[in-house]
Amino acid sequence: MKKKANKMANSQPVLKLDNVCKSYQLGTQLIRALECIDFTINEGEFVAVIGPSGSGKSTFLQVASMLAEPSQGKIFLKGQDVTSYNEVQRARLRNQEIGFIFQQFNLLARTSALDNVALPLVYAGVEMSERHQRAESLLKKVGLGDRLKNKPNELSGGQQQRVAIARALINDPSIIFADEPTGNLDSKTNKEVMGLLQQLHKDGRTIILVTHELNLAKTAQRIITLRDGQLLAEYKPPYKFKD
Amino acid sequence: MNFTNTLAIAIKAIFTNKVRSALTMLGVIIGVSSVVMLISLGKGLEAFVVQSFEDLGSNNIYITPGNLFSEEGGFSSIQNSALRAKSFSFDKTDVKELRRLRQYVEKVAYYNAQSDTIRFLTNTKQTSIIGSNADYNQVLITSLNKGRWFTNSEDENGERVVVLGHEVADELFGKVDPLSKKVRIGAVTFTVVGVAEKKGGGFGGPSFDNVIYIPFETLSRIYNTNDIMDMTVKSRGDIEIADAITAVEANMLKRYKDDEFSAYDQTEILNVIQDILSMITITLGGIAAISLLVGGIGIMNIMLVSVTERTKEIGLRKALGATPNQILIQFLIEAAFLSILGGVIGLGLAFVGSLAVQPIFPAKVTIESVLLAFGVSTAVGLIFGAAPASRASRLSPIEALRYE
Repeated sequence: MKKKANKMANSQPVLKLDNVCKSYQLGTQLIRALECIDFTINEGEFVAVIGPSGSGKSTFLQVASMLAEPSQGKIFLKGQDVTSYNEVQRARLRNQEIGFIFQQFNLLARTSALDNVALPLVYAGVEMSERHQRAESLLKKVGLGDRLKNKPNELSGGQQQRVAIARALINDPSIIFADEPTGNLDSKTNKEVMGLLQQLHKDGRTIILVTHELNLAKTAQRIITLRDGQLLAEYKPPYKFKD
Repeated sequence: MNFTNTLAIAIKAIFTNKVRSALTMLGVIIGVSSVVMLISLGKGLEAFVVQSFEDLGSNNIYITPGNLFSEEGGFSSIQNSALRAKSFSFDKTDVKELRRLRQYVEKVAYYNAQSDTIRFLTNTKQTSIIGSNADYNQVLITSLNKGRWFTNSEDENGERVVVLGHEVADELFGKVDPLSKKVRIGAVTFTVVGVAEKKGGGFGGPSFDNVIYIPFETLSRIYNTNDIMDMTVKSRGDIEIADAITAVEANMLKRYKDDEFSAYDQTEILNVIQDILSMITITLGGIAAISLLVGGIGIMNIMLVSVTERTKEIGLRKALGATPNQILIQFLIEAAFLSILGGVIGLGLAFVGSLAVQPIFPAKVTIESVLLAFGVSTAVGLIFGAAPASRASRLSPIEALRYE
């Protein structure tokens, strides 16, 4: 696991979106989901992206995490222009450089916590013994060392999200995308998961948190707000928001 | 991701839905077992026929009235050959002429056949009567269970001696020893001198054991005919059988037209029979293959359902780094594994089925049918799994992750 000091937050840019737009065709209508935006996140930074439903948060996450291609603009990952990467290159990039934490956990049913965490390593071509060793170590780190063989339906919501967090970390990614990670959790487990994310940040991880909850966003170092696909404003602590 | 990992994922997915996988495989199991079973029955029948012909002796040349073989290969039409056979028969002049070919001919067997009732005390039986010369059992190898065959002098003198077929002896005499007993054939009394060995039936056709053998001369006198229905020449062991056939044909052509007789050896007739049996085997296998096709469609159907059901899983795998090709291969392996496993089970069933019918039918599982079944079931899996696998590989990870 990366051990970087938080003071490095202002060092190298990990991800840079340069005039990136995303539009798609819905029947005869052209939907502009993301107006051309510029965005940079540095190594070790914790940024929250907030906005109401339909503000373009999800599109931002999809484009920034290489799940979708931008309609316009350029994307740089660790200084490398990855905009024109083909599907296979993007898949490898997601596997090696990006960790995902989803609102719905997205764990494979009928698959143990250990194998769920190890899943990205399967596509990285890592041998089974090493996969299990690394997955076990991460599960212990998120406090699930005694639930290795349990399947998702045998775990609570908070435990499932912790499995998902361990999975996001398994390939030692450059950046972690957390999409409404507490959206399906009660207030107690909500705090646990957010605590875990903050711990990761302290460990030097680069995190982009997408949420519509201002209170969660306030735990980040920086907040950007989106509305109607446009980057509306950027805030830094101490946070003072108008309506 | 290597092949072992992909295989492991595919096997896990199959065993996750055991009942569904079993039902999906059922189509392939039935298809493969039907194809292999029918081919093994066909091959077994072919082997049986070949063996039966070989048992008759490999140096024999059969001479029958009429043109048995058509110009195009295969047998000539039934009407054609039957008409010829009815119009023409041979006589003792032919036997005499053929015996002159000493350079080629060792022995000549000939016969005429009639049908009549044979009686011992109160027991009666309708049977075929073969009136043959003394060489008949040496040329056409009719082994005896007990007693002896009739001699040349018994034939020449028209003596009333008879060799009973196994079934006839069994039904008329039961546990009584038939040798030296008197039987009546029609109105004439004969002495039993021998009993033939059991030959068995002909796949539900007339039994080869419901027959009796008497000297040719005796039959000629009783039934008032000198006609010879068929002749069999045993060629000398030191010459090529093809040369012997040429010599026999040349000899026969001095007295008959080309289309009035046929002279052939067992390989000629065997080739035609094998061709016919192969056609039957292919046709039966083809019909059975339809069920394999249905099995393949079943696999495609279930794989399409599986792709739809697992859309979210596919989206997740892609988000976590699976390439379209890796998804394609995963689903292809899944379909192929289902199909191959079905094929192996089907093969096992066919093997057991073939063993089970062997006491009554000569089924024979060949390596060709095993390879065919394995190849076809793999191909079925790959072909019918291709469309669902391709569909899975083309799914957008975003759309797939959103799928509920």
